[in-house]
Amino acid sequence: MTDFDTLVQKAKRSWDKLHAQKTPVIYAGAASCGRAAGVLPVIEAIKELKATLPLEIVEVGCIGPCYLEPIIAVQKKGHPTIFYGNVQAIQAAEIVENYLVKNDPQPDKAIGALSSPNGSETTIPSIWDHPMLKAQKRIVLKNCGLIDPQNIEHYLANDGYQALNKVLQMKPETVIQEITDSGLRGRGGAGFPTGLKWKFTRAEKDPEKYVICNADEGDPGAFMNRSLIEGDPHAVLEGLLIAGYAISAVKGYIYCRAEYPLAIQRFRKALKDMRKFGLLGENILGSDFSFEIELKEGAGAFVCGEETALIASIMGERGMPRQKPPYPSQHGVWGKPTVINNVETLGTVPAIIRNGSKWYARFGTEKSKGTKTFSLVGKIRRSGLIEVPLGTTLRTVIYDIGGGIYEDKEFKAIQVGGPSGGTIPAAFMDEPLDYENLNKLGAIMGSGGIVVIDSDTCVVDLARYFLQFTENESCGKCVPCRIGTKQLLNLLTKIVKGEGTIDDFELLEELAHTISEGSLCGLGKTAPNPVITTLTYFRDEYVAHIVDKRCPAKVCKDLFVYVVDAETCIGCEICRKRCPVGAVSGEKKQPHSIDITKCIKCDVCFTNCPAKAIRKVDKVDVIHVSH
Amino acid sequence: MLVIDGKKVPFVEGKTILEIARENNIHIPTLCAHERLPSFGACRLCMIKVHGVPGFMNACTTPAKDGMVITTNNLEIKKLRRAIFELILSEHPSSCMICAQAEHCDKFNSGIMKAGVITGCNTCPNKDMCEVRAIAEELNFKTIRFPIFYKELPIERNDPFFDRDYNLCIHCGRCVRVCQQVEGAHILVFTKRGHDTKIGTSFEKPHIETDCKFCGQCIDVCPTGALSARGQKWYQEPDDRVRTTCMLCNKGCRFEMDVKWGRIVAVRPDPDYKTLKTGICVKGRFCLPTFFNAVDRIRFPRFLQNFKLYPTNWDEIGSHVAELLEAYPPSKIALYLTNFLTDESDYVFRKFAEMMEITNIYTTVEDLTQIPKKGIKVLWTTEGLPGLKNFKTLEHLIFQEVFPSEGYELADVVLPAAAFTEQFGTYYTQRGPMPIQKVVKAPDLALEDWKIVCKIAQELDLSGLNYLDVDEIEQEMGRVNYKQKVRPVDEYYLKYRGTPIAEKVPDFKILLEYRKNRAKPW
Ligand SMILES: Cc1cc2nc3c(=O)[nH]c(=O)nc-3n(C[C@H](O)[C@H](O)[C@H](O)COP(=O)(O)O)c2cc1C
Ligand code: SF4
Ligand code: SF4
Ligand code: FES
Repeated sequence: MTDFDTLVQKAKRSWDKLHAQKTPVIYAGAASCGRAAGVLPVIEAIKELKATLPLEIVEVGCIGPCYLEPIIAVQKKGHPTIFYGNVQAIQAAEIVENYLVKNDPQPDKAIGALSSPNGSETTIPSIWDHPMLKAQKRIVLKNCGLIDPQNIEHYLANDGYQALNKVLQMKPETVIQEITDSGLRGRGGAGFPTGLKWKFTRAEKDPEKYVICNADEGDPGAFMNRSLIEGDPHAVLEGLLIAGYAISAVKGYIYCRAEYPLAIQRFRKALKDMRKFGLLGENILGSDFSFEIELKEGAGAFVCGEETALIASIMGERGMPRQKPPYPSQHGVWGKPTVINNVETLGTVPAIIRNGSKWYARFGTEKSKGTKTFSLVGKIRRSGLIEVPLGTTLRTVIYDIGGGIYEDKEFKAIQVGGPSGGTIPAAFMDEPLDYENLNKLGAIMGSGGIVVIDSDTCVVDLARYFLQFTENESCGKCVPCRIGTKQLLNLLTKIVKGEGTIDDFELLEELAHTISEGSLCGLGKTAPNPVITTLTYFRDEYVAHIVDKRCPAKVCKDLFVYVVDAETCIGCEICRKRCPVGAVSGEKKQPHSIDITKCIKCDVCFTNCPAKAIRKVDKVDVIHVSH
Repeated sequence: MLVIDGKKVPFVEGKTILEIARENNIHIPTLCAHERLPSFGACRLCMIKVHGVPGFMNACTTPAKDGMVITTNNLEIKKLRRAIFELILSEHPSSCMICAQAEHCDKFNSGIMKAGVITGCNTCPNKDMCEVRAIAEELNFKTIRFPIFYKELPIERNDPFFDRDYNLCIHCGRCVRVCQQVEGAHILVFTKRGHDTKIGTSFEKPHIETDCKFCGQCIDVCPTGALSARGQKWYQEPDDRVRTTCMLCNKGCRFEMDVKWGRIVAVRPDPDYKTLKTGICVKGRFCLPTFFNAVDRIRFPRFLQNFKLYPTNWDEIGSHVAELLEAYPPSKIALYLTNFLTDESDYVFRKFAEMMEITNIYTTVEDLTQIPKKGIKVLWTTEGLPGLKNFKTLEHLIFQEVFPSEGYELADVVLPAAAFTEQFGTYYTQRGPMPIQKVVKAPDLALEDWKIVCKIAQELDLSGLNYLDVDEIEQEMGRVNYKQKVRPVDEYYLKYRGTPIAEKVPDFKILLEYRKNRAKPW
């Protein structure tokens, strides 16, 4: 038996022991999302129970349905493990006690169950039948929310480092071929075939080579990389080791944004444990392969996720992209051949090696193989982190997994790929989500952020929001991006204020073209995407703003006014009392009215009217605007 | 082989498309590229199309490949290039470039108006050299469709030697590259981000508080009027440009000097010459013009009569000095040779001494202690010297200098010398013998040191000291195998001959005082 087998056996024993032990175990989803939802006070509350009730608490990562957080799972010997969602600190102890002491599984509060080896029957359906999880295919996320990310033995007990052990007996070229055959493409944005990237880098003559794990994740709203690191850091690190082995690199870097303190902590702990277990440093697992990993904290600029900027930042320079070619595979960190891969790309590698490229290539489409994680946010009922085979339709994602639009409003569009991506209207609901198709529609996969938009969102304003982001995050190096985004933002601001002219259409289009064709790096090249896609799919909304001076979604404050509908108004006086500028007048039980010259559009009356008597009316219909 | 715009050109491994195009006289507009600097790819004017590659590429960073077929100027490229340049103009004070009256205005306002703030070319000292303006002309720009943004950055005038108005900056990054990659100084950096990105020092400190060496290279590479040397900026096109070697120390840096109205108005490193590793220094780059243009240069020979130094001509002063020297035995005469003499002048002086049998040749202040010991009566110095009044044996002081420096008040003969920028010759430096070129004429009657010696030798009827030019001296030096050596004048020597540079250059004085506690002032 090899050293590695001994490690695994020991890990398996302690994993099995944990699951068969008499003392109950509470698993708490304590990734950043869980913490934001308030899991820490929940854990505190459960800890207080310990005085009377023997139990163990294990902090795990995120299992995905963020809208249900805080989530805990209660393990009880001889009974199924039950997951509870939206657990608040005040009821936490009660929920735990009810199950453990009173034997009440509380089906109303439960979100699913995991059957235990000799668990008794339960009416609670399996957690994997939960509507948000059922349609998913979890490969890279398989351990997230189920294992303790800080415990390397949990990872080892769940096939961890098997792939590494396997590749150490393979020729590097064979490893690369395996990845190439799997069809894996970069999950960091551009979707470049990973095997090919490794092959090119390996082919470079310089023997000093590097691998970088890109954990900069700067898209606003995206959090899949963070979740993976916080839930299963070893998967990413195993992938990094395999990449290092495949290209014969001397060293690996992890570039993680400083705004991810928990992820950094998870990495730190994992690296320490790896060294202890002989998985890092000299002669890994007794082989000839030696490898070091250094963790670098990034200052959190969006552009630092761009590979050449990231490399500059690692070398202590300002995070400014440089023109490619030469590519990092030729001229990367310290001027040496470098592979740079996204967190998820690397996290997927072990599964491919373990199960074979054929197995992986079964998922997905012809050109986009495998699965991809997406963060599902916005006006959606079930938000969270999901993993589906590439090529899954938007309909499946939005309705089957996401449960449809929040408050049953009208599904208008999705924005994929963050500020570099595009807005795809609901009409394309049956289009498969894959690299080619998203590009065809004018968006990009990006890192996989999906923001769901309903009829209350103004797409012109949305485009303006994204432009504001890129204008701020431009590194300032090249003209089209630095000045172009500013001028584009300026045009959009003019339009949402109702000051646009018909000539602006041409200028918008030309400027978008100049920025995307002229910019140096991907940030600038993709910055106009939100404008281009909304102009393509929602041109009527631009026309409404520019020509009619109307904002159909009633979002652009310069284009509508608040009016009280006298017939609906019950004269409750709430709006009159709440209005901060005294713009509302009216007697008790009499219809009120709003002085639009005083109104500052704070929205207080609109959101607080119990009778929903406040209307947003296009300004042009109320006062004559000359233009 | 490559094809650029239908023209077959040879492929050269390792060169960029821009370099190959330029070598073959194919013009591609550029702003951020600079021949002395690594390419950067920021201005995006050099956009071209490579057949078979989707989209556009920029010529300045893209390595050429054998067999590439390149188009630099079709309709599509022109349109994109114009659109990009229009964005630059929307943030660079460009009103004069697109003004409909520009031609008319230029006729009547041919000069540059000084104004507190630069609002357009007619108030910009860089007007004639501006590369942005040149591109605007090339692309024939008449309108800008975007609102114009003036950045409203404060104009930085608090540092010695230069002004920095980043409202004019187009972010080409040349100054940053020259500072970091040529000078290795890392003073200039990109600061802030997004649209607010600008060039500056870290934490926006004044340069004098940083380790800035005031080498001025940033100014030299700036394509706009953003960076300018104060006191050197309102001269427009120079009348002449002359290259010479700096003699303010023994490093042997090469300069190119702008000449206008017979004066040196600007100095920059010789573009064809790699400066030494540490680059050029503030003395040469900034102090030199102000220093030599100072009004109190010695312009005429003078001799003492009735307690006054009367100006005279060379014939009269020559016979006066000859008489004076003949009245004393050579053992009572001493010569002080400054380290700032050209090799030729140094040689001529020493030959003169040999013929006159003068053996008291001093080159350091310590040598002066010989004066009382030997009872020296006549001292002919080529440098202002401290403490001369303490030497009671001295009866005559012949003062050959550029400025009335220390000891001038004791002189009974004054001989006006030409500065090194006002003569031909050679100077033996750390990089060997370097040519000294005449950049401007010496003021009034001032003469090269060797010529002064020759004048006096003539009066003394010494033969063999009658040279036509420095070439003749040089040939003779070669014949007699005369070996010159490096003078002990390092970069941080703060005087030229006997005059502290700071005395004539107020900004230099500020720099030295501000940094007096540092080990080195730059
Ligand atoms: C502006 C910009 C930001 C980017 N940010 C990220 C990021 O946060 N994470 C990431 O993995 N890739 C990011 N990328 C893509 C990287 O440049 C690079 O393509 C990627 O890390 C390659 O890894 P992959 O092949 O595994 O996708 C960004 C690209 C651009 C242009
Ligand atoms: S496109 Fe934007 S982020 Fe990229 S180099 Fe240009 S200015 Fe910088
Ligand atoms: S100051 Fe001049 S050289 Fe420096 S970036 Fe601006 S325009 Fe370029
Ligand atoms: S000259 Fe090529 S981008 Fe500026």
